[in-house]
Amino acid sequence: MIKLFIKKELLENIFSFKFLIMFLLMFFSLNTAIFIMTKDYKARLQNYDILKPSKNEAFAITYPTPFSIFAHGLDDNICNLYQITFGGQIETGSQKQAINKIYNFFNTPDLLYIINIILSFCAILFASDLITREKEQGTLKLIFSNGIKRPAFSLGKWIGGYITLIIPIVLSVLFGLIFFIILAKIPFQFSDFIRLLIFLFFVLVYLAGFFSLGLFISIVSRSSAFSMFFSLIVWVSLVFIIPRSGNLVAKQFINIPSVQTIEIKRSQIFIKAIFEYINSHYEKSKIPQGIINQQNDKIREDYLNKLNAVESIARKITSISPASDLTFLCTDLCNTGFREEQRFKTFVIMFKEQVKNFDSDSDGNLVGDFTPFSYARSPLSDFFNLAMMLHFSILIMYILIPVILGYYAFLKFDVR
Amino acid sequence: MFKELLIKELADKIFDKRFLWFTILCMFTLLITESVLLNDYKTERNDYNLRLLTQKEFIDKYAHENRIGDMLDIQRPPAKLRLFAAGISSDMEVNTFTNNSFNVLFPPIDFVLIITVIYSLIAILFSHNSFSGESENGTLRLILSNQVSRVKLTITKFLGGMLSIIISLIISLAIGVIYILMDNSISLDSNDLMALGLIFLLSVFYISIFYLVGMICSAFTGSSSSSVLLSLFIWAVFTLTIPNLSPWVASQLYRVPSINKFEKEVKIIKGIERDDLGRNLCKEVYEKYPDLLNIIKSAKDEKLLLAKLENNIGLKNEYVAFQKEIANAWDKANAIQSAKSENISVDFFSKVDRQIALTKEISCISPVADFSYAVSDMAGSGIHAEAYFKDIKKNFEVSLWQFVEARVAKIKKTDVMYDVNKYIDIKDRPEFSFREENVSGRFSATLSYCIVLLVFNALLYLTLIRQFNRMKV
Amino acid sequence: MLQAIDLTKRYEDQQLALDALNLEIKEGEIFFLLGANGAGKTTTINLFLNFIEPTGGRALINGIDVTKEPLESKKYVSYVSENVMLYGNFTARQNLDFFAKLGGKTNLTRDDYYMRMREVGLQEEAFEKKLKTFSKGMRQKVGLTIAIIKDAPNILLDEPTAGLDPKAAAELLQILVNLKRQGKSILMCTHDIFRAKNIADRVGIMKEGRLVMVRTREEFMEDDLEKIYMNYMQEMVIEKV
Repeated sequence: MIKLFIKKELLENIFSFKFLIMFLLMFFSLNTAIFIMTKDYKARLQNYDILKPSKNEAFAITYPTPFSIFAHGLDDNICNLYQITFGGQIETGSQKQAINKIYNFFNTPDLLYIINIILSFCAILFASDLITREKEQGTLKLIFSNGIKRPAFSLGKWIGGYITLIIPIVLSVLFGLIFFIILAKIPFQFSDFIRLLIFLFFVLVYLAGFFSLGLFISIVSRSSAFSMFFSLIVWVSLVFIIPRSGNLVAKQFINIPSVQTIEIKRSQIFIKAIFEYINSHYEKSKIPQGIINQQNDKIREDYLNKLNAVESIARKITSISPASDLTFLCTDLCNTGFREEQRFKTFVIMFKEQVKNFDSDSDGNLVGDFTPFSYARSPLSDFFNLAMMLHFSILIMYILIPVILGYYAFLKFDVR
Repeated sequence: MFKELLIKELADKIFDKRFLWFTILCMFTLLITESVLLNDYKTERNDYNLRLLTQKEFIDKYAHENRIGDMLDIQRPPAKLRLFAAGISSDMEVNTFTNNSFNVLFPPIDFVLIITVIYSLIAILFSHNSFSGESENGTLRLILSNQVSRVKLTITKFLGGMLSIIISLIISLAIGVIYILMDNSISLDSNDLMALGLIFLLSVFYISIFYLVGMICSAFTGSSSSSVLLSLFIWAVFTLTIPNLSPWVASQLYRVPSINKFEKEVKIIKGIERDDLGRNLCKEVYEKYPDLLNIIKSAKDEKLLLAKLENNIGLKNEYVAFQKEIANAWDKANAIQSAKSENISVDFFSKVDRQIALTKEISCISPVADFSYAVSDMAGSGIHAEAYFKDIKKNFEVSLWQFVEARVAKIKKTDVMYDVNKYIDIKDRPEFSFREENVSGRFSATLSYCIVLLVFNALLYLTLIRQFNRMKV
Repeated sequence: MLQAIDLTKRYEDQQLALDALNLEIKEGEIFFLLGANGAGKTTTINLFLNFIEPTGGRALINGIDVTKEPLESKKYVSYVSENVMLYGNFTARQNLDFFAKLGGKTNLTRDDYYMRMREVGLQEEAFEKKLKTFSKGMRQKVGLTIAIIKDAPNILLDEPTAGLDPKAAAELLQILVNLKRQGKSILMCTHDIFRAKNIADRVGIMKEGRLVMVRTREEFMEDDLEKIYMNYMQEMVIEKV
C-alpha cells in the first residue's frame, strides 16, 4: 500500500506546475553557483602560484582547496598570505580581489549558500501544502473511505514527497559536477569523491528536516494559505534570524576589542621598541626582537582566547538552527571551516616560532636558514569528532521531532 | 467609490489573522536586533575612544619623524545609524591574522535584512491573491459589474494593501526608534532623523515592488495556488539569487589582475630592479673616479680613509663630489623606479575602480542590491559614506603633515644633532574631528538607487495594468 | 446493508448534530435522506465512514461496527462526495487506477477502466485528459466510477447532484438505479426532492439532527412528497416564530 502512495505522490507532483518552477529555480541557481565558484577557484589557484614563496621568503601560504567550490567558507582567510617580519610579527597580504567591498553586502553564492537558503525554501514550501491540498481537493476523504491505515498514508506521503523533492537536486548537482568539475579538469582525486558523497548526504538530511517541518505544519494547519504563511515564518527564523543574530548576541556576553585596536597596539609595540633601542645610543647590543615577539604573542593570545570564547557562544546559539549546523558541518568537511582556519593558524604560529629571531634585510625579508612553510589540509579522518556528531544529531532531530509530532497529529487528524 | 474600495481592501488585510502574526514577528525581531545592535554600537564607540586615547598618549610620548606616518593612523568613529544598516563594517576593512571569522559565515542581522527578507515576503503573501482570490469567490465579477474601471480597481487594491503593510512597518520602526531614543547613550539629531525618514521611504518603495509582483502574478495566473508559487519563486530569484551572483558575474566579465600580483610587481620594481639600476648608475660614477676608488678600496676602514682625505684637500673635494654623484645616482634610480611603479599602480587602481563601478551597475538590476546600497549610504555605513570619510581623512592628513614638517623645520634650526629618530613634541597638533555627511549630501549619493527603485515600481505597475486588462473574469 | 442503531453525535461545543438515529437500508434499496443544510445528513455519512466518533449508538456496515473495526468495515462501502476535485494533475484513468488500487482492486487493466467510464457515459476523448480540465459533471462521473469500480455492497453519496445540470443529474441517477439492481444498498443525502421522487425506494426527512419522517415509495407516491417536505420545513419555521 505504501508503494502505491509513493507512486501516486511521484506521478502527481512531477507533472505539476510547482515542480516545474522548483526544478528551474534549483537547476539555474545550483549550476550558476558551481560555475561561478569554479571560476573563482581557478582564479585563486593562479593567485596562489603568484604568491608561492621563493626559498628565502618567510611567507606562510597554502593552496586553495577545490572543495571551496562547494563550501567557500573561510577559504579566503586560510589562503591569505601571511608574512613573518622582524620580531616575529605576522603581517597579512591584501585580499585577493579589490572588490571585496561589494561582496561584503551579500553572501558568497557557493553551493552551500544555495542549499542552505534556496533549497530549504523550496523544501518547506513544497511540503507545506501536501496535506492541506488533499483536504481541499476532497481526495483525503475519498482515500480514507477505503480501509487505509493512516500511518501507511502519511509514510507514503513523506517518502514520495521527499523523493520528488530531491530528484531535481540530484540531477542539477550531477549536471554541475559533470560539466563544470569533471570536464573542466578540476584536480579531484578519487578519495575526494567520498567527501563529496558525505556532503551530499548532509544536504539530503538537512532538506529532509525542512521537508518534515513543512509536512508537519501542513498537518496541523486548516488551510493551504495559512500553512504556507506559517512555513515561511519558520523558514525565515531558522535560516535568517537565528544564524545571523548569534554573533551579535554572543558579543553581549564577552567584551572583545575590535581588530583595529589590536592592530594599533601591535604597531605601537614595534615602534616603541625600535624607538627606545635607537635612542638608547646603541648601548644594547641587539635589537629587542624578543620583546616585540613576546608582547605581540601576548596580545594575540589574549585576543584569540576572547575570540574563541565569543565563537563558542555564538556557535551554541546558532546551532539551534539547522542552517548553521549544515554550515558548520559542510565547511568543516570541505576544509574551509573554523577548525581548518584554527589549524592553519597554529601552523603559521609554529612557523613564526622558527624564524622569530632572524634579522631582516633592507627589504624587510628575514635572513637565515629555515625550512619553508608547508601545510596540508586536514585528512578526512579528522572530520569525525564529537562536535561534528553534535551538529549532525541536531540535523537529525529536525527530522525526527516533526515526523513524530506529525505522526501523532495525523492519527488524530480530522478528515471532515 | 474609490474610498469604499480602499477601505475594504485595508480592512481585509488588517483583520487578516496573518497581519497580527507577522506584525508581532517583525516587531519582536526588530526590537531584539536594535537592542543587540545598540549594545554593539556602544562597545564600538568605547573601543573607538580607547583607540583615540592610546594613540594620543603614544604620540605624545614617542613621536618621531621616521615613523610618524604609522602613528597618525586616523580612526573613523562608528556611524550612529549603523543600527539600521550594517553595511561595510570597519573591522572588515582591516585584514589581519586575527580576524573575527564568524561574520564571514554568518553576516549580522539588521534592518535591511528585515525589510529585504521578511517584509518583501509578507508583501508577496498579501498580494498574490488580490485578483485570483476574488475571481475564485466570484466577488471580482460583482465588483466589476458596478461602475468601477479596472485601472481604478488596481490602484485601490495596491494602495490599500500597501497601506496595511506601511502601518505595520511604522509600528515596528517606531518601537525600534523609541527604544533607541530611550537609551540616553545615543543622541539622534535632526540630520539622523531625516535620514531615518528617507530610509523609511526607501523601504516603502522596495516593499511595493514585491507587492506589485504578487499582484501581477495573481492577474497573470488567475488561480491562487499557481500565483503564490510563481510569485514566491520570483521573489527567491530576485532576493536570494541575483544579488549574490551578480558581483561575481561582473568580476568574471571584467577581470582585473590580482592585487597580489600587482603588489609583487611593485615590490620587484622598487626592490631588485631599483638596486640593479642604482648599481649600474653607480658603476658609471665609479668609472669617472678610478684613482679615488683605489684609495677608498685600499683604506681599511672609514677612520683611516677620513684621515687620509684630511691630508689632501684636492682629494677631499673630489671625494665630496664623488659622494654627491653616488647619492644623485641612487636618487635617480629611485625616481625612475617610483615613476614606473606609480604608472603601474595608477593603471591598476583605475581598472579596479572601473571593476567596482561595473559590478555595482550590474548588481543594480536586483532591487535588493539597490536597496542595500541606498540604505547603507543613508545610514553612513555604505560605500559612498566610506569614500566621504576617506576624502576628509586625506585632507586632514595633508594639513597634519604640513604641521609636522613645519615643526621639524623649526626644531632643525635650533638642534644641529637632529635626526629622524629623535623625539619631537607635537602635543599641540590639530585634532581630527569627523561629522557624518549631511542628509542632502547622502540623499544625492543615493538618488540614483532611488530612481532605479522607482523605475521598477513604474514598470511593474504598467505591467500590472496590462495584465489585469487581459485577465478573464 | 447499512444499519444505524441509536446513532448519536454531540460535538465539543455541545451542539447535538445527530440524535439517536435508527435506520436500516437493505440490499437493493435506495434510501434518500432529505433535509435542510445542517440537519445532520453529512454527519450521518461521516459517522458511517468513521471520520468522526459517535457519542452514542452504533453504525454497522454489513453487520460490522465501524468504530470497532474501522478498516474492515470500509471494505464494504464506497463513497461519493459532494464536489469531488480529485487529483487535477492526473488523467481520469490515472485517478481511477489509484483509487481502484486503494480499494483493493489491483488487477484491473486499462480497458477495464475504459469500459467502466463508458458505462457511466464519459466521452471517449476525456479518458486520458487531466482532471483539472473537467467540468463538474464530468468530475462527478469519475467520482462515481471510482465507487463502481470498488464494487462494494454499500454506497454512500453526499449530495452528488449539487451543481449539476439536469441532464447530468439524470444520467447520474440512472447509474444509481443500475447499481441498485445489482443489489447494492445506497444511502444518498440530497436536497433534491424531484430526483428522490423518481428513484428512491424510501425517503427520510431530517431536521435538527433527528429523523422526523420515513416514507416508503408507495406512501409518498400517494401523498405529494413535496408537500410533505414543505410541511415539515414550515413547521420548523412556525415553531421558531
